[in-house]
Amino acid sequence: MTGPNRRQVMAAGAAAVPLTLLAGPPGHGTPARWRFFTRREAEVVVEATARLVPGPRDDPAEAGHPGAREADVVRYLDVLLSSVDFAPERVHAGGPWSDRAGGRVNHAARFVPLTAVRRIAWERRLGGWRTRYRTGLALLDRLAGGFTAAPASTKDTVLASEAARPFVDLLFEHTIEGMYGNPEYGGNRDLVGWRDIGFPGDSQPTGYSPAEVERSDGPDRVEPSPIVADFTAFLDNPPEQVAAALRRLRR
Amino acid sequence: MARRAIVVGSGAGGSIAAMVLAEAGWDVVVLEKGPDLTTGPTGRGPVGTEFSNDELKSRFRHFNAPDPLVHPQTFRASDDQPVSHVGMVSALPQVVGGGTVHWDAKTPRFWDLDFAALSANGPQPDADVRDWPFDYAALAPFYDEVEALLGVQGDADALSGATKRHAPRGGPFPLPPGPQQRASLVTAAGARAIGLHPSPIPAAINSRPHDHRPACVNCGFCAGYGCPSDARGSALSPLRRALRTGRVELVPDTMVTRVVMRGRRAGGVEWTRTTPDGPRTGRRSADLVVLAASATETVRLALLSGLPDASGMIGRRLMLHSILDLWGVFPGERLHAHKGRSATQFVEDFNDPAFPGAGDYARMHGLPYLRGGMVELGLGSDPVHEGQSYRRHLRELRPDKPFGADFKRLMRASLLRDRFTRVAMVGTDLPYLRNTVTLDPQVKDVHGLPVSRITYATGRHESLALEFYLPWLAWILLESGAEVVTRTAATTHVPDSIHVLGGMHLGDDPKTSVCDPYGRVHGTDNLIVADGSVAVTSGGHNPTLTLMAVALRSLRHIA
Repeated sequence: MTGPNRRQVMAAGAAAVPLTLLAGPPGHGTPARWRFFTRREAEVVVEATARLVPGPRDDPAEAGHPGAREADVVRYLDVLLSSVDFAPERVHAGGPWSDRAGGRVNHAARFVPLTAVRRIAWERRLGGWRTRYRTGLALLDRLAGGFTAAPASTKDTVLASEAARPFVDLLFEHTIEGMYGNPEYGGNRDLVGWRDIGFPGDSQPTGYSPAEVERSDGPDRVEPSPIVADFTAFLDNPPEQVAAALRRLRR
Repeated sequence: MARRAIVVGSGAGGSIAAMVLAEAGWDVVVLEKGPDLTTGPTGRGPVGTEFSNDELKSRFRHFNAPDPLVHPQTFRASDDQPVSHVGMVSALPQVVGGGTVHWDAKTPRFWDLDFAALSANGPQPDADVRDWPFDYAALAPFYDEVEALLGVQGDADALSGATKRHAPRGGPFPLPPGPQQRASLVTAAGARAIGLHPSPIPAAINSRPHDHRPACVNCGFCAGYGCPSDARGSALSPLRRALRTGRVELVPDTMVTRVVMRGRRAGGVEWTRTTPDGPRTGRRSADLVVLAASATETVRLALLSGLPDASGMIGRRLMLHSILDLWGVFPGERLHAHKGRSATQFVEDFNDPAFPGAGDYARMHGLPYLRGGMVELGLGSDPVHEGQSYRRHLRELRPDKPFGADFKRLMRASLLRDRFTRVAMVGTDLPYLRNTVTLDPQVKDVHGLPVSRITYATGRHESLALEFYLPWLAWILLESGAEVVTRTAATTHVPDSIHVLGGMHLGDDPKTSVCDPYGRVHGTDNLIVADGSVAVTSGGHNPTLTLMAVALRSLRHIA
């Protein structure tokens, strides 16, 4: 079955389809098959999220720094939006640990079934999001006059526009989850999101030694850039109550 | 035939109630609204869990917390204002184990001043300050017992002089302190440099194997996360002791909707459960009913049940703690707060009304005294949460392109995670009659029942305490070497301390309190409250140890 057909089947009634037949996630290299997105929507998602969180192919400044494209954020989003169609639902990965930090078995590869009342909540939540993605992705396409083929500057203008803002806020929020969340949810492929920021990720069952917890890792000055300078200045200009306290202290 | 008890809620208070009743020979049914995320709490040895080092699940996907789309609450700032928020309002987790599955297990004791709040310090204008019906000394043996039960680590000698004076201990902590987080050591050094008295924070985390549970491995996913290894103490310890008697039935996914009253007697409860085939309802009878559903949910159940309320005080005096959170940014060093057991140091100096300057500042502003609260030193953050902060701020900083390479540069610079730490004061929240839990007249939960409506505003004493202690928190961070001391503007006024106290407070006099000194609802023979709702004052401390000690004292008396 191809993507759109599968989606239509799912829309027609998930219960009619043996879920186990659909549950196998395609690995890298196999043709992308989408549970929620149409093929066209998936292409727009790939290109839009690659502007939000660019990798080496998307922005020369990010050479050596994988982004949403490399982390397979589109897969994260497709799984998220269809998560209640899996059995068990792919909403909460299992515990107590993965096999990334000394565990022999990746318990997180198994998902915890939603209880009946939690399933009601997630069906409501996903219902709202699915509608927003359908209309939001169509809007990006319309505003850009065909999003995927538009030049990068047009894409950026569309993504920063007031008209697209409500949807782009949601898309960016979920893109951050797909970049820096645990990989069981479909994103952060090969842990590229964590590696790029030097975050070790889940550490159970090994954890850290007392020395690793307590010691100083030594001076490590932040790499200067205009945005880091601007953000530091922004932080250094806190709300008035805090600013007043600091003024008193520094006097 | 054994007497039968129903316990509503399996968290900090309910698990203690189940343990004491079962060990005294009662047959006990524990009805828990949320799911059981363990692999079965019976038996000994570490309990298997579905908790893990997973930020999405734990912080964004309502795994531990109630889901607002089926179990919302509502919030308004005062009686004459409309509801401004439908969702979570400082809600505790609703799962087997309750709030003790998400906590980082800080277990300080309240001070003698908290139990004798009125007689020690006098009244406060606007507030309903009262004494508890017992003093610190009466609760001390129960503190000892709960600390042993949970396996609390700490260093009794290192506690500040004020702490030793106001919360005297009979002996050392059951376990020695574990490794100290780098961010906590750095901020504690700052605190010490300005004359404060930091020490390891008492915490129910195994620094060595204890009670058939392993030592903590410092995984770093602590506050807000369930413990994957069971190294962190929780309500599961008393709950499992209860289950080992063979006289306890634990029923998850089941919400009690009404306490059935016959005159002065609670005859049992009605419950509902959502199943894939729709709702199921039922009734269970009992000789004793214990309410331990958390302050907001116990009040809600009391109101749904029409419990006797001669004092008119049910749902009043809600206390949520007044949290003062300040951030230190360290552009020259990575503090790696993602390693360790959350903030491991604290200061209690600001809990003391005799703290230099506090009294004068209070009187200058027309208040008799001022109290802050304990300060946790060295809290951290996680990357998805961090990323969402940059996403929001880039709208201001780069309106033409609030995303892209600049977002990624901020993530790598990590000024709000790896080169960052927080200090947070758990400020005393005085009891005010206007801060309440009532039933929302419009919003219903998934079962069609009215939800808790929280009406809450920070009081004058709390605002003044925040104002007085904010420079002290800033000073700690500056002395610690923070190059930037800051906090972003609040985006919401919805309380989120996740410390929930009051609404069913204890007292001798049925005309002025809801429960008697042992938690029995005035006007009833056999209805007991055993959670944070019985609190008379809030303390300037994480409250769970205290509410467990109070539940233990009550239930020992009753069972």
